[in-house]
Amino acid sequence: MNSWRKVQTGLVSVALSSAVGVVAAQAAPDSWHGGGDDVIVLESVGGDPDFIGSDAPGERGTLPTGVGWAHVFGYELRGRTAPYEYAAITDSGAHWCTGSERFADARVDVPHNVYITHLRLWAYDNAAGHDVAAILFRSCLPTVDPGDPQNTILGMVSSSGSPGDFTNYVNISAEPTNTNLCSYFIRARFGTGCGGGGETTFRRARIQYSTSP
Amino acid sequence: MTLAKPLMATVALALAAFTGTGLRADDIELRGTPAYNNMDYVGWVGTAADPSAHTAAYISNFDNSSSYDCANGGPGGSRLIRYPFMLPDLRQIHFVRIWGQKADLTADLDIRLRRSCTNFLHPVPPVMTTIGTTSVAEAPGYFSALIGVDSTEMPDNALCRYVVEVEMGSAASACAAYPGALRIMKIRVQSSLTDRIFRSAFREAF
Repeated sequence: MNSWRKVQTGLVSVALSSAVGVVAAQAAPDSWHGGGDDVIVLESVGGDPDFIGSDAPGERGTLPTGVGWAHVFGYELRGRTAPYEYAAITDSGAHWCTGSERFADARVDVPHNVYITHLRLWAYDNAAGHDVAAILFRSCLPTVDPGDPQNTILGMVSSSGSPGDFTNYVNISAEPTNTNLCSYFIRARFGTGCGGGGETTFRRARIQYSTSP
Repeated sequence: MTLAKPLMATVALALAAFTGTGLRADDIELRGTPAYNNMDYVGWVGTAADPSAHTAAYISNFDNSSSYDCANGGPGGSRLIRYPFMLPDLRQIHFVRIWGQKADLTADLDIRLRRSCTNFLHPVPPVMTTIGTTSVAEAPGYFSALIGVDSTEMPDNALCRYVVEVEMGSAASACAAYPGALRIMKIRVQSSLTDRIFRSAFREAF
């Protein structure tokens, strides 16, 4: 755990200027997060293998573990711009875009003062030329003062190639949640021009959090 | 004093019957009364819905109630909307109640409470289970419909999320002839936490 804490405390935040650089240089659109120029991107961290192992059922619902989860179905996504054209089905939770806007967001119901440890995406990708991704954002405002929101990417998971049914996760390393100042949401990214259609669907995302670091 | 004893006995019987029916009525205001202290309610306005597709036409300004008013005035368009939710661990889900309005010449409503559980780590499609259903037909005007839930239904938040689905007829015909004729005003989920203090969460001593 010591090494984990060192890694955690050594997190590198990409500064505003770097984020601008990333956006400006988006020659490959499928690497873009769709967040504009003012997004900070936290580096993902490999993490301690033992800690990664905690993304397992364990003793759910028991207080000592202090672990919880929040899910978002694909069909909870709202398009980033309107009119947003999409389709969805209940049984798999799948959502996919059908127009030109390829980003859609859904709020995540996160408790205050917990550590988000993992982001997991379930999706379907049967189109080799287009991927589907989930990007976890934190958006913060001052306590009472007006101001621009400070948006930070906490982590991203994406499909690759055409795996069909797909799930993957990423470790999240960030300070505890602060629902006083911040909102948390997951942004789905589909293929350019909604390429892939129903062959690239966002089914569900889950965050795992812990009450202790 | 001669009246006091029968009166007290009657009250005791009433209380016994009250607690005996335990936690299974959502018709009256019971919060704060014995055996109902642990009830909790989560609700949404109609416009909190997630339409199944952008072809689901709706308005919500009929009377400032934030209701979801189906506005597919002709054939075509999606008629399915959803209200997904989670509840804290160890809660028992008891009821889902839906308020709305349904006038003449509107599509019948099919309402379902469903549970979607995924495999914890594997990329298989989730398992969807229908927990309860109700329907609203004809023209009741304002309505309040209820889905009762088996008392053993408890969330497993590592795997599952719930959804209330409302289907407003089929795409073969109009769902409503005019705004406000068919609308969902509110959804409420009633649950209880039987062990509020310890949440049944003590481990066995080793």
